[in-house]
Amino acid sequence: MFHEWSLVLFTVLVQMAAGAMLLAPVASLAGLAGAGSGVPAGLAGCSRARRVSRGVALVAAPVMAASLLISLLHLGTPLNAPKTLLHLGTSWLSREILFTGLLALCAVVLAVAEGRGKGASPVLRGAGALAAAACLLSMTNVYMLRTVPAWNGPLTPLAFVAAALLLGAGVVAVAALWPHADTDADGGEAARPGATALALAALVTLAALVVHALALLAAMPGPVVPGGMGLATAHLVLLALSAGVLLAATLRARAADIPGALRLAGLALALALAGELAGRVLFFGLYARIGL
Amino acid sequence: MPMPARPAFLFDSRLCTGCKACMIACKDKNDLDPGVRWRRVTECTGGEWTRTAEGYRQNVFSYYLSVSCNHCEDPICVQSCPTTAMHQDGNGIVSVDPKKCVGCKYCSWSCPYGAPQYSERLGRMTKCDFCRDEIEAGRPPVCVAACPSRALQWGDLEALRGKLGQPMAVAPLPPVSATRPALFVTPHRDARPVGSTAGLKANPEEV
Repeated sequence: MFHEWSLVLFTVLVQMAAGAMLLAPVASLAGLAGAGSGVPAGLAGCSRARRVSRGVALVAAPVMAASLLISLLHLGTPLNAPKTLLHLGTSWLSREILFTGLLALCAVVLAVAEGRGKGASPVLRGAGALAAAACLLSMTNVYMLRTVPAWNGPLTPLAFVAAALLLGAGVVAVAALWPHADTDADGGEAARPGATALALAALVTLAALVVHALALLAAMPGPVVPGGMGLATAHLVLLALSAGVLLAATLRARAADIPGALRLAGLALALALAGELAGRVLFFGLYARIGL
Repeated sequence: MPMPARPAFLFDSRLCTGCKACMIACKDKNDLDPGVRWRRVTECTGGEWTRTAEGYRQNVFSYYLSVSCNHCEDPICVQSCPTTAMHQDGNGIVSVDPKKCVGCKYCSWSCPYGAPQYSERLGRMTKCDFCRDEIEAGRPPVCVAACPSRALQWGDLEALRGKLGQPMAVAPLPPVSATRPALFVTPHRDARPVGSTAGLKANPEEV
């Protein structure tokens, strides 16, 4: 099997951060937290938006920093890494490195702005979401090589986008539930997300699970991968469990048990991460180029 | 022969005995590390024995392909390299600039000939440069010079096109359209067409 452990970790972690930074502004705009009780809707919504934005930035920044360090493990001569930006004209790998760097920069700037307690500007959040989208697009194209048939089809875009949305939804759910002194003071318990947020995260997870299953079907019959059936099973079962645990978290939130809901959302995110890692090992195992 | 405008390899599969003198000459001249092979001789083997009323019959076949970098006209390795270390000069020769190579191996993922070879010792990609130094000194590439059966030749791409027509390929080579290689193959009588899975690589440990 094609062993690239550093790339398995790098792609999954970057997609998690990118998905979260794409979904965070959407979650804030849509007021995913739902209406609170006993708190003016505007105040509660604002508090929830900040909670999501801050949580996502505080997760995305270290995840992106770790991802960039992990990506260096894949290189034979890491000191030449700055030269990987020299071929933006035709190399999708060069473009991926540029946009991954920009995404990391946006995540760090957002985290610093949020850490100061003032909150990041909508422009900065928008720039982060744009960098996340560009990063996902370029990363997908890196693997869509015309000489690697298994990757040069629906598998790559479907698997990468599904992973980003699924893991991103998990991060947003945990970020929204995480207790925080000053945002809690704004709106109290009611500023915490309602069951709607978790139900939507579970829905995104279920939809991504279906997309992953379709992506695997699209890759058939594909190259024979040792242990491939076990990896595919682990991939889909762990993601299904993640969706189930998120639904359980939804029920806890409806019963106003926020700490319980947070624990379950964290477990769901861990299961989703494990499921995506299994799926990514299988993805790299499918590598087989035409010719010699 | 002076440096052609665009050098190309010509391989006559009918003449190749699979002796691998070309591989060894290349490894020797370039001091290649164990496991690094800029030129590889693939043995494509297939067929079976079947029992009939008259006895056993066989359609067993085997033929060789000696392949290095083909210095393609549409080089996917050059296009995908993030650092521009993999580059093509005015003669169409593709080579690696070790000062720029980051050792990401992306070129070797994409090349359908497996031409870029990673050196663990150097932490960089390495590959055939068509023995530029030999050609500039008026000598043929060492792989060509070493071939005892004259199965491996070289010449100018356009001159060979005029003589032989467009390059063609046989299994297990990729289709010519993938990267437009500067490689002309004269097929063995048992050669299978591109895409055929009738033959297997009989010597995977050597290629």
